[in-house]
Amino acid sequence: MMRDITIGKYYNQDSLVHQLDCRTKLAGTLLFIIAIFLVNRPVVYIPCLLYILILYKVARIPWSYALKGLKGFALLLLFTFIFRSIITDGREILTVWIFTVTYEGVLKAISLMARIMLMVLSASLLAYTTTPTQMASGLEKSLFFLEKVHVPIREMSMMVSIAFRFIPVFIEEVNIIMDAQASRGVDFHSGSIFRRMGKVMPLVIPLFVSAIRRSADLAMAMEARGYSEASERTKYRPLRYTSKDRIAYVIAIVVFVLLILTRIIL
Amino acid sequence: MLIEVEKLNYTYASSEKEKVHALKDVSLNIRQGEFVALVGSSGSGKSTFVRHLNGLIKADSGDIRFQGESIYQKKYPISKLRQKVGLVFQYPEHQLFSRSVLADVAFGPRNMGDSKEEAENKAKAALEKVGIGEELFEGSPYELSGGQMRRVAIAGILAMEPEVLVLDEPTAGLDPYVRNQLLNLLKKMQKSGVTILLVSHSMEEVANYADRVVVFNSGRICMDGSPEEVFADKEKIRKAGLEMPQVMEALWQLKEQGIPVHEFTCNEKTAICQIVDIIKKKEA
Repeated sequence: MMRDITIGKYYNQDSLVHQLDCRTKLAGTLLFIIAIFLVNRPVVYIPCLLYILILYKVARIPWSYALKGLKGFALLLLFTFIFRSIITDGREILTVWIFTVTYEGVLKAISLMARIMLMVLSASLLAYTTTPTQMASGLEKSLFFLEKVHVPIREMSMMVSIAFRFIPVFIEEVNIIMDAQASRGVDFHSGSIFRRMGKVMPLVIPLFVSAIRRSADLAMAMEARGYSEASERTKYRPLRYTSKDRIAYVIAIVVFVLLILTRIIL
Repeated sequence: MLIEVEKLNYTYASSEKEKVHALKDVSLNIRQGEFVALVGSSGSGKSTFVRHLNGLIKADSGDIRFQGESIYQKKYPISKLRQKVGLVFQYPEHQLFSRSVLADVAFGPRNMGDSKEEAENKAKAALEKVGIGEELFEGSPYELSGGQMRRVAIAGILAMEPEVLVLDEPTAGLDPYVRNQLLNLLKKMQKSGVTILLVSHSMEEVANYADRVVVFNSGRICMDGSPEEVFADKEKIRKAGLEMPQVMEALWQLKEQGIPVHEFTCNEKTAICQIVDIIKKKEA
């Protein structure tokens, strides 16, 4: 069940996008997302989609993989579309009982759907091409100025990277505990929803206990190796911008400006 | 034949691109009442193999017959199979969850459809077998020591009264006293007709308790026989990433020193008698 989730999972590949500094990708994604929310003409979403698809190609991630990640949002997209089309006032296209679909509504619905889709696609591209460790250290460096106002960015980044680090461990753990309880006669795959909810306890309690045990062990191991929040941490792979990053920044900014300009020109 | 495994193959994806062929044409027959040890280096497929036996993993190809019936046929009652083939996982104490020891051990029988009273009676019997005293029954399983938790967890499987007991490294991390107690319990259960399959990394355990040793090497069974037969082939044992039991190793080294050892046994007593004989002969 948990083995099939593709959204947000790092996709190992050697590509230009993978080589970029995490901060570049972070900034690029952010700029793009801001831009697609400022765009007010549905037509503009077509070049946006093209831009993202090209980036996927450059990152050498199959489109089918990206599509699989979008599947989880299908229901959300559908509901957005239906509600947007119904609740907007305007010229009437179709009336079913008390619901009226309007021309303006459909247009707005398409825009909104496109926005969500593009946002998910661009954010997943970031996740597919950046390992959680890179992400954490990129965020740490980008937000480091907040340390000046006593926000413990370093510790938070440490916690985030540890949390990421343990996701596969816990997935593995859940699978083992499920197998073990299945060996004691629990059938996780049948019964009504209430009966199934009752079966969660033999799964959740051991998982919690193991999480607590693991964190206590890890804390001790870290202290044993001299970890202290007071000292400055050095990086094994320090983040450094290269010429590729400069080019990527230029592209991201140009795309951003072009998208904003469509508001004025069109 | 109690369990017949025929040409089992199992592959799984370790990442997006890589596939691991965990079991390759594994065939094995197990008779009722046998004490079989499954050995092999880490990643040789033993743990994957035992998970097939109670239907947790379905093989890609091949067949498993339990008491003559294929467990892969449609409508085979898998829950019945899981009661009959009890599987104790590695570090089973990590799966304890109930508020009291007794309730945790009774969990299996309850799932099998026993009434509360029946289940508790079975649980009490199982706890007695593993040497957990009555005073601990109502306490939380999380307040026990590591060794006690392990025994409670094993009792959780014993309470289902399985005909086959499969244990995946049950003695890892136990102190010597509890370990011997557990192994003796397994031997006793074997005598009462329960078939035992023991996955182990300790060649001593294997040599002293098992009647039959099955060696796994990178997804295949490469040796199968009595401990004496299997450990006689020093070269193959090395190749499988294993070592000789100490007694056997000592006898081999004596032979290399030119001492006329003729019987390579895993049994300490037999080995000592043999050495004493040799010394006596020399003196005479």
